[in-house]
Amino acid sequence: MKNEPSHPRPSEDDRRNALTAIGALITGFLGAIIPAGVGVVTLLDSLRQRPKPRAFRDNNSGVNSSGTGDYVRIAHVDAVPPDGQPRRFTVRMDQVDAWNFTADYPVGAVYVRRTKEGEGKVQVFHSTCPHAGCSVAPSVDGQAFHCPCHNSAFDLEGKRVVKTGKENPSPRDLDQFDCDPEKLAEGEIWIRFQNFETGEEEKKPML
Amino acid sequence: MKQLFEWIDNRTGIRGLLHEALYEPVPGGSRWRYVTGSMLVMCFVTQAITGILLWMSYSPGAQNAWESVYAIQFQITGGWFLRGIHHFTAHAMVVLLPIHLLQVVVDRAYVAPREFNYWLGLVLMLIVMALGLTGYLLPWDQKGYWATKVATNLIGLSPGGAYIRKIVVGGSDYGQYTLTHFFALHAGILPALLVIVLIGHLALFRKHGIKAYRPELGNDEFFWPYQVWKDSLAFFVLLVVICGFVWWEGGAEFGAPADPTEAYKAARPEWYFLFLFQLLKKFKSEFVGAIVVPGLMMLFLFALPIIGRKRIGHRLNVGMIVLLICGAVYLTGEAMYDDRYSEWYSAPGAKGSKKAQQLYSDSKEYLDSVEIGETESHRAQILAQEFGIPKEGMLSRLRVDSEIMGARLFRERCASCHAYRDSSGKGFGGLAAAEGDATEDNSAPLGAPNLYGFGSRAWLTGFLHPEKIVSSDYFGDTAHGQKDADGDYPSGGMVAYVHENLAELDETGKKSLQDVVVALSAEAGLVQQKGADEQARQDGTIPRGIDAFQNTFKCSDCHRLGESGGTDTAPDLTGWSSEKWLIGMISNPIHESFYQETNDRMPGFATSEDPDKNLLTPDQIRFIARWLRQDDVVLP
Repeated sequence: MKNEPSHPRPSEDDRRNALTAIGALITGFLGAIIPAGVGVVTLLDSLRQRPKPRAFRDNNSGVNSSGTGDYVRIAHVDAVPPDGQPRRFTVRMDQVDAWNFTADYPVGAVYVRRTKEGEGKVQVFHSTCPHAGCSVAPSVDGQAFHCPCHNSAFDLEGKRVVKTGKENPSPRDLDQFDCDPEKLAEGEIWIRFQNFETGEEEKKPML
Repeated sequence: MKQLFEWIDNRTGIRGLLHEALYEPVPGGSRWRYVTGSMLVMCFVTQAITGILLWMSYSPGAQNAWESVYAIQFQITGGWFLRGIHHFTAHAMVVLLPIHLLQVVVDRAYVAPREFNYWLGLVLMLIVMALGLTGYLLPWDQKGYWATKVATNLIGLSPGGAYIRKIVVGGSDYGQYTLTHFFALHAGILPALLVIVLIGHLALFRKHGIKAYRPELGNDEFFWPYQVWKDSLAFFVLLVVICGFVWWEGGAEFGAPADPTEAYKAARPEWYFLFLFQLLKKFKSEFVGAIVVPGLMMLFLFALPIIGRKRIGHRLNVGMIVLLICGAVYLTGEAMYDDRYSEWYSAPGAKGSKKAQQLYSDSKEYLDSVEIGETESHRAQILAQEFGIPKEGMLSRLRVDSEIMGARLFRERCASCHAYRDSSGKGFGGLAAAEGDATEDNSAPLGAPNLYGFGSRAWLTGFLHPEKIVSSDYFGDTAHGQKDADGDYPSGGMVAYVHENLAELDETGKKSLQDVVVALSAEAGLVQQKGADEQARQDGTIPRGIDAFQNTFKCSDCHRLGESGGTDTAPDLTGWSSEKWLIGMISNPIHESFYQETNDRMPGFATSEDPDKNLLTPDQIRFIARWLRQDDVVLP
């Protein structure tokens, strides 16, 4: 150190300092924003609806369970018990999961029951509890749907009921699907399957 | 050596750094009460080490995650212990955190000038909880999958939360990206954040020095070695306890592979989140229970240093924090109490209060589901062991396994009438399970036979017993078991027969009846009874039994067996309870080989030529039949 020649003190020329500071900030910002930005863009890709592979685009058995697709077949009406008891059906659709595409794959489940009043009339419920997304199941006596997580309960019509001594935390009744009327007339149950947001009073498609 | 150290020190200044780090004076001397913070740091280091080593064998992917954890747990030497330490150290951190927090508040170490340090501590606590949440999903087993699904659904409730959820989950549904995202969070982003915040926390801690508790009680000591000794001894003891847990529990829990189409009914978060889970049940609005109340609690914790400026504020803080911790403990206890109710109390019966009945049946359902989860998990492990794991993932193997699918289908389609419970009551289904639900007048037939061990000698022996045949395990809850006003069984030919002819047998009669049981049970050809059946065939018991069936007991007056006997009103017992017989019975009980018009309420599950119109597919019926016969319990 002692042999080094002495230097003049750093300049305090404000204008030159300010310009350099701006330059440093800009290049620093760009240096950080380019890799980080590209990274964030890939992350935001999750918000995009992922398309089916081209060979399957015309196959109208639904895109994925967020439901922009068409009607999917659930069952024949005769496969539902005539006594009004609900039966659980697995919903099979073409599924896009990240890089995997699987045609005709189990993506969820619905409960179907025949209503008493008319022959051939059915109700189709999503098997997911509208409260927090657990899966409801018919109670032991077959008179209601119970959710095993937080005590939600629904009657066979899907309406909320209060279990003895407990609050029913569900914000809405079980989510119901409309059947394709033409197919139903032929005895076939077809629905537009999709998942719904949980925990809200309004039934709206899962984002 | 000394010269080498001098040289390094000259270039790096390491001596000064070490001195700075180790010779921090502790006013009043080292104390046991100061160990919690250091223990947390050491726990984190443990998690980093075990976590990275687990990472070496873990693969996040819908077809790989469960499978690679299986390998860690059951194939890699010492893997179960490594995973166990990682699992239980996480629990230890969650136990230590509130203690550390409580201590900081009680000792008033959160007020000026240490506010920022306190806030960083809270941030660290949140990061640790997020690590717990994200780690729970990674094994991709049923419990983690369904419990985490609830947690991410809750994120969607906050404003704009649906978008955040979609980014975190990597789409609308759980899938590949959920695992890659959660893994990146768990092993990358969160630990990195934790390290950064921890450096700040420690730097501020050093800047302000330790907030000594009554320093006048002792002489000052240096951090090294006195406090370090206490810290490391405390951590060592903790580690021994953790290893004890790992050993005792056989490692961390590991369920069956996640199946999006098969809900796991016993989905519960890890115990340290149970208070939040229970809180959800308390509020009508989920938004309030999941976001507002926990949010206010967090806000309060962050406001502590501001409230605590005055003496009175500090007292309030101490009171509130004790209240919060007590509240969390109470809610956790209540959640556990609700779930375990039926284990601790006997069934309230029809006379019990409605509330007790509800608690009992909910808890019973929960515990049965836990049992089912354990059975499936065990089965998945056996399959993996015996057949290896296919590339498509373990789930594809489970979906063609009769033990898994048969039980699932039985629960879904049969268990509302039929029970499947062994003599100790373990199992599921049947109305007897819901004692609370039984109607007051027991006149109406409610159920159907318990099918546990159907086809076996034990099942048949019970069936041919005058008292047992009218119990709920057999025909007691069916039309066949109902007496009319005269004490007859109008639609119960078999019950009447057993009462009239088998109630008072002499020793020879009893022996003959046992021969019939052996002979009929042999028709089933149960795998489990193979040896015994072979023995009976050789020592002549079976021919004797068939002879008694036809001549002594005149069973063939109603039932067909082989080439001879039978009427329209009783099932053909040829091949009784064989796979073929069961498939026929389940498909169509009113077929001429079975009950015809005497069928009670058993539906025909495949009566139509058109398979689309049937209640069950041929595969499904075969799964149920094979499962009832316990054909695949022991793999070839």
